[in-house]
Amino acid sequence: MADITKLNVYTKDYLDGIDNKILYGSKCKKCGNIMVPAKVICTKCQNPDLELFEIKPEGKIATFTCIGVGTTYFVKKGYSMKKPYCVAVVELDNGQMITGQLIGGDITYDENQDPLIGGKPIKVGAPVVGEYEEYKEVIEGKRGGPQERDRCRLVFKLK
Amino acid sequence: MGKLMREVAVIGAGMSKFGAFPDKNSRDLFAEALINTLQSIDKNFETKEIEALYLGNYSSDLFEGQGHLAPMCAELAGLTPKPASRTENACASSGIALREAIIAIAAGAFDIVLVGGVEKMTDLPTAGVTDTLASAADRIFEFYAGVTFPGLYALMATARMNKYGTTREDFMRIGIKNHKNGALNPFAQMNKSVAEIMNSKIAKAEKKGLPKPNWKDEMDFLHDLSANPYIAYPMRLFDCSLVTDGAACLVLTTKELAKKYTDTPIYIVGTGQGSETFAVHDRPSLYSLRSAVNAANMAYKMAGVKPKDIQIAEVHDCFTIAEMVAMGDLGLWERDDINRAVREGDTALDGVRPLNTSGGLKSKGHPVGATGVAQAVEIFKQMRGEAEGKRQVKFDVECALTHNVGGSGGSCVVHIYKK
Ligand SMILES: [Zn+2]
Repeated sequence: MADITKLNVYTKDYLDGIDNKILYGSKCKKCGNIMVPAKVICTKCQNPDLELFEIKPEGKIATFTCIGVGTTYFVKKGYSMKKPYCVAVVELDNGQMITGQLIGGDITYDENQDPLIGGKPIKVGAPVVGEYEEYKEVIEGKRGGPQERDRCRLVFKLK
Repeated sequence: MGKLMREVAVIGAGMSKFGAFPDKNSRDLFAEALINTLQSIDKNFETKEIEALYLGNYSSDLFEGQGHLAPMCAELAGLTPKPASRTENACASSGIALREAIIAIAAGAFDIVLVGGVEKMTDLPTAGVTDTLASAADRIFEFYAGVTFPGLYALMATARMNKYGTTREDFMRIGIKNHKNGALNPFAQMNKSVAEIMNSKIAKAEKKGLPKPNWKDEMDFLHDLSANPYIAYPMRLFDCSLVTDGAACLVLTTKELAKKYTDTPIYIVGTGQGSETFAVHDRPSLYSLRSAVNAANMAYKMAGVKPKDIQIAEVHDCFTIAEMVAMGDLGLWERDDINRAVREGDTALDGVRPLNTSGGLKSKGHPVGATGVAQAVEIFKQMRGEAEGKRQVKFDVECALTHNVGGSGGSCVVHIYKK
């Protein structure tokens, strides 16, 4: 039975990593299983004794969508039916997958109604590279009202 | 494992009209479904015989600012002070309520149980509905990246197009088929075929003195990006299920007691449930749900039936792609045969195995917490030859299935029915 007191990687570590512009995966010290984004318990053997490792946010598009009716956050950023945004599932070079916005220009549709980003076609298999987009998060402060915090989001660009 | 200690029968089933009803809240919708259900029980039934309520509801808390619906609905049904529980597994909430009720009867805890599902969705503006639905997906790893609920299924759609050569026209064919069925269902929210919708838009344009749209047929209409825009490429407006208010109920009892209330009970011979990773990117396949495969295998094994025995099914078509994912996960068609099946009409009302005779979530509507039970209501009616209008299938249905998915596939529950 795995010793749960050994739990030593947390979701917060992953999120702090992104805020510091580092993509973390976790590796099982027992079976060697690699997990990206970092998980807190091994997805293969349920061992809690994991270690963080840094991984390059590079890979290829596994699948994607271009969203016209977005989440509140994206609508506030100015996206709409007329100005969609693209989200891709990216297969990293080690085979693990992660979800992020694909940036690099406006989304338009060609004569076959297939999507383009900045005039370039978006295709499954296209190589992409990650970068970190800085933003201010407003959090409801417990004392003294809302507070701003510097955050980062991992986004991708066509190579 | 995998056997019911007592066999379970459905003796009554009914639903409210599905739609957008500014004047009706959860109470009103549940009451309407309850009345229709009680009226469907053939004989000798008194409401006071019900021993417990299992109610599926996804998020009345966020949709209406009212939580804790089970005792509220039990009170309406005159069940107070009997046990009343709410189940929440996103869009599979009431499919799970049904499963829990079956398990309770099989275990001998109760002999007669009321199962319900209810959701009141149309009070919130679109952005609020989008956010509430997206809260069934992974907040940290998907929602923050901008993925919406249609977006998650769109990811599966793009993956399937890339792997199997599925086209956007295949998705359109599923929408056209389900609208055609829904047009025959008086309880459906959108009981209009795509052609009828197209023609009413043409008539409206003429009336307003606007240029007359020159759509040649349904397909041409669905290809028009102004009439059928991408909500989340490649899923368009007509690929998405509706935002709906509605409720549905079932009365379950044991096989032995069922004959007291009806000569034609419908038996639930298999129940199965499964789970899948929360985030789509963590799955081994981008166009299959292990939750559904596991739920189906569990239900088939318990029922002692094979996919080929299933004559009709209500599958969870929250998006048109979801119907294709279901066809494969349930083993009803080989994954590489699904495009052909859709193109050749295998799943149509007069096809070899009709899917979603009710109109499905696409046309009947998708009040998320009511959907699982509403699927069982359709199967109950079809198996007893009581489906309204011309949507009653032409053959005798001996074996049927319902498939109810929660979120982007994190939950799935499958039931198998026999006469
Ligand atoms: Zn391990």
